[in-house]
Amino acid sequence: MTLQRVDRDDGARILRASGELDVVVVPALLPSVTGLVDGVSAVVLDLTDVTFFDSSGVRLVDRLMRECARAGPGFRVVAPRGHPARRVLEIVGLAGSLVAEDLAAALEGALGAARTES
Amino acid sequence: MSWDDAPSGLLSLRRDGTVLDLNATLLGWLGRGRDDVLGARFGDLLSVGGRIYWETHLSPLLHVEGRVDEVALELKGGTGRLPVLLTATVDDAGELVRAALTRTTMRARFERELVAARAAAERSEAQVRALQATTAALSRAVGVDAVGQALVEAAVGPLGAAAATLWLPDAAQRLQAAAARGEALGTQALPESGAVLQERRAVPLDDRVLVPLHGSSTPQGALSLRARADAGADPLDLEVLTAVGQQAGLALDRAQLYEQSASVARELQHSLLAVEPPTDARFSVATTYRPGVEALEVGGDWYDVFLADDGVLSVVVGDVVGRGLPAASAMGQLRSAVRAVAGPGVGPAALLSRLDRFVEQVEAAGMATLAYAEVDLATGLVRYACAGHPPPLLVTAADGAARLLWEGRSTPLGAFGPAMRRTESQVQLAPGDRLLLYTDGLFERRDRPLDEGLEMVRREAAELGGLELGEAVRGLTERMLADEQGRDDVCVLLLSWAGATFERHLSADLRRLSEVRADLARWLVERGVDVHVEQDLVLAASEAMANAAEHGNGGRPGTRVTVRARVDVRVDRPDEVVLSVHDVGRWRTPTVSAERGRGMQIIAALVDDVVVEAGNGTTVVLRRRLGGGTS
Amino acid sequence: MDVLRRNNVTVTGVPDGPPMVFAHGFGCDQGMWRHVAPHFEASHRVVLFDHVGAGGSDLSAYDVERYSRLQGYAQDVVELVEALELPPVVFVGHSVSAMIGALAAADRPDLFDRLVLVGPSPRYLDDDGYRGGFAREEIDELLETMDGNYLGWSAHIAPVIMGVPDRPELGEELTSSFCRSDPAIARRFARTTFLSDNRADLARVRTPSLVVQCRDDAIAPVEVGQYVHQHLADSELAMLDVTGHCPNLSAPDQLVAVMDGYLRAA
Repeated sequence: MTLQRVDRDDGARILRASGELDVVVVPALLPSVTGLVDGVSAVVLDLTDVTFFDSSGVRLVDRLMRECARAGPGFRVVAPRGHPARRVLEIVGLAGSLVAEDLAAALEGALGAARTES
Repeated sequence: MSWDDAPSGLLSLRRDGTVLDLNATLLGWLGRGRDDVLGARFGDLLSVGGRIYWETHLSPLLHVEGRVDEVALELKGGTGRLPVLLTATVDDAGELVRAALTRTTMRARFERELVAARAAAERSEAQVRALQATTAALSRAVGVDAVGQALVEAAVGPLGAAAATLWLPDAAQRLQAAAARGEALGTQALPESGAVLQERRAVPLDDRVLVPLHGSSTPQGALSLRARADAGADPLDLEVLTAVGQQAGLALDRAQLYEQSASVARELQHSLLAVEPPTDARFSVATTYRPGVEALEVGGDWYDVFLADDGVLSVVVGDVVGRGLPAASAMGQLRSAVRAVAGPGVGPAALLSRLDRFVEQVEAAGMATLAYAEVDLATGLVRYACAGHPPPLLVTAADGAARLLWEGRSTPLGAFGPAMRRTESQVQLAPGDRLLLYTDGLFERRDRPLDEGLEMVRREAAELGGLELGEAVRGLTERMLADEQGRDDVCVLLLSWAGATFERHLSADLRRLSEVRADLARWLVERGVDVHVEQDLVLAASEAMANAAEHGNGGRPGTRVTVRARVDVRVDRPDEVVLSVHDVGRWRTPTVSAERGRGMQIIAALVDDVVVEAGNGTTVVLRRRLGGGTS
Repeated sequence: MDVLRRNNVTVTGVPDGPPMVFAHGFGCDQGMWRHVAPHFEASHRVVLFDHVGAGGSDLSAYDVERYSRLQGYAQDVVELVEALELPPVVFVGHSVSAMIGALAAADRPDLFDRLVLVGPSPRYLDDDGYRGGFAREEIDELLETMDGNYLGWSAHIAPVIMGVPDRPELGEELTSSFCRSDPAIARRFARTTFLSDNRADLARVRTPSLVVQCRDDAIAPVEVGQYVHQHLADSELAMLDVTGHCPNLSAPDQLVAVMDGYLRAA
């Protein structure tokens, strides 16, 4: 699993995950989550290339969501319809406004949210 | 010829029996003086029995019919009893009786002998009848209790007693009251004297008759009889009772031997039929065994289930000729031989060949029949062979049809010459298919053609095909035996092949989790599971494994997580995938980490049924129906 | 089983007169009453019968167990009285039938009005303190005598052409089976009669009784008649100056007179 970080001029940070997010992989990521949300105005977690997503993935999303709420940036998740991650997020009730269909919508949402929710 | 010189005794009587006159001949016989006898009663001249007979029969006859002819009586003579014949008439006026007596010593002796011979013959005939009736009753009785009952019944029946009590030795050889008729059990006491019990004949003892019973080598007890007290009843016949005692002693011997043999045989059979089938998720077996209706003895039917090799399951049902201990023993040996011979690379035909050689050594196993099958648990391929045995039945899960497998047939064991070869055949099982093996007691009826019986088995097995295995085999047996015409043992074995299953083991750190997920995905797809369902199931399995690992991490070294999956193919319901994840920890109820709670939430949304079983560790069993979305 | 046929019951006399039942004793049959019964036909309903095994009774009804005790014969008496639906009867029993009647009356007093016991004996064998008149060997002798005469006395051969000199009106009878019965049955009846002990049953009899005793009876001696009289609750004793055991045949007028006297005095 890889987590690629891309920072944009508009202050949004894209975290692009690929591969499998499961109980073996996720725990190693969690400690660095705090650092990932500092100093930006929006965070987007792009799960498009994730091939496996379960409750561990949910845990990651949950942690990012809390950190963003604490630190300020808006937060969105990219998980297109039909994507396994979407399904799981819906099951656990974390879908809704959090999840966007594509990157553009996610960015718009996250940047917008930062302003209104802070 | 003058009155006094007549060669017969002549006398005249008044009608009331008083002697009026008698001749010298008669006086001579009586050895008395004339004055002595004149005026005496006629009856006083006779023996006591004759006197009674005179008063109750002869005198009335003279009154009514006026004469008696040729009546045999005995005079009380000077030198002893004198047998005579009496003829008497009453005169016209009805007052005077004239009587003539002739001596019949020779004739009387002859007649006495005839009477005695006749009486002896009648008595002997009565004795024989009583003895025969008793012996017949004893020989019909099976077992010690039945013999005891037959004996006391006979005592108050053909042997003519009013009451009887029987004592039999218990396990410690002490005599206990065992049966009684005509008197309450336990109210009679056995005579103290051992000497009496050693006798080998019926012994009168106080008001009873004691008949000691002796087997061929040990005392078998005693029978005590009370005669009927009625005035007109016959006394007990000691000769007959002695003979009965001998018969009863032998009957008890036989009954004891029978019971011992029957219990040994039953124990043997019980131990032989107590089979511990191997456990493997890929198959299930259910069996029934019903002994024959008239079987006080064990029969020769058996079944067996064992692994001939890794992943190769052998099932066999067989039938040894005959009953009782010899058959049970032969059956046991044959069963062991099958297990010993079966093995990697042998196969059914070769197995039968080797068994042919075996029965050359064990004669009682000759002409035994058996049906033998080997199932490759991974592939579902079955090799089978039938030695003179009813054909196995295949019930297919896909369409619920049943067909008899007529291939692979040859003769009973030991029944053919060296030139012929044993043959086998094979059939491919699909997951959920069932194989039925059975003995001929299931369907053979005296008045019904074999084909009809087999057809009935086929039909019933097909109808019951959807039931759980145990119910199916019980139901089949009950339906086939419902007509209660069966006499033979019945042995039925039903095998179900679940199809290959998926099984993986992981260490508690789930290092290979990703790999296992990929294997499972592939396995499911191979089984034709729809890709969306496959994804759901893999996800659910992964969650379950994560849960298992969390509990296993309760610190036990070497904890393993095991995941298994199988597809249950069902006839009239959708097929179902059954996933189980097992760890050796024990989940403390329910509050686990929030993540695990979420994990359960996810699992619940993806499958139809979740069951958590605590046993040796914890197993989560997930079920998902195929051919539709989740409910 | 038709009781009336079984016991060869004959009914004569006055249809609604008081009933009188005659029972013959050991040895013969209802013919024993031929000189006594007619006397009562003008005033009584007269019932005569044969015990099973005697006279014209149904031999197939003979049951060894039932008739090995006098109670079996007593039960027959009860059954025939009930079958005839009689009011309480005067029962006249000779010899062993005296005890048979006593047993029946002890069990069913409702069926009996009076008992007339002619030559009764409750036990024929001597016992401690009791003189019945006979020893066991003597009864065996009787059985031997009966056996000895079986060869000539079979009921199936030698029916006697009967002409009774003093009763020409009976000349119609060409054959007779009087005192001849099935020998095996007769033998058992002899044993049952002579080996029974019914002394204890006398105390159970409440019916008023007349004991008729012959002065010189070798079968039922005077002491026995006195014993019976003493042990019956309500009895009279009448002595007949007669030799022998069968006053019903040898001295019928005396017997009738004594019965008349007793019954009228009731």
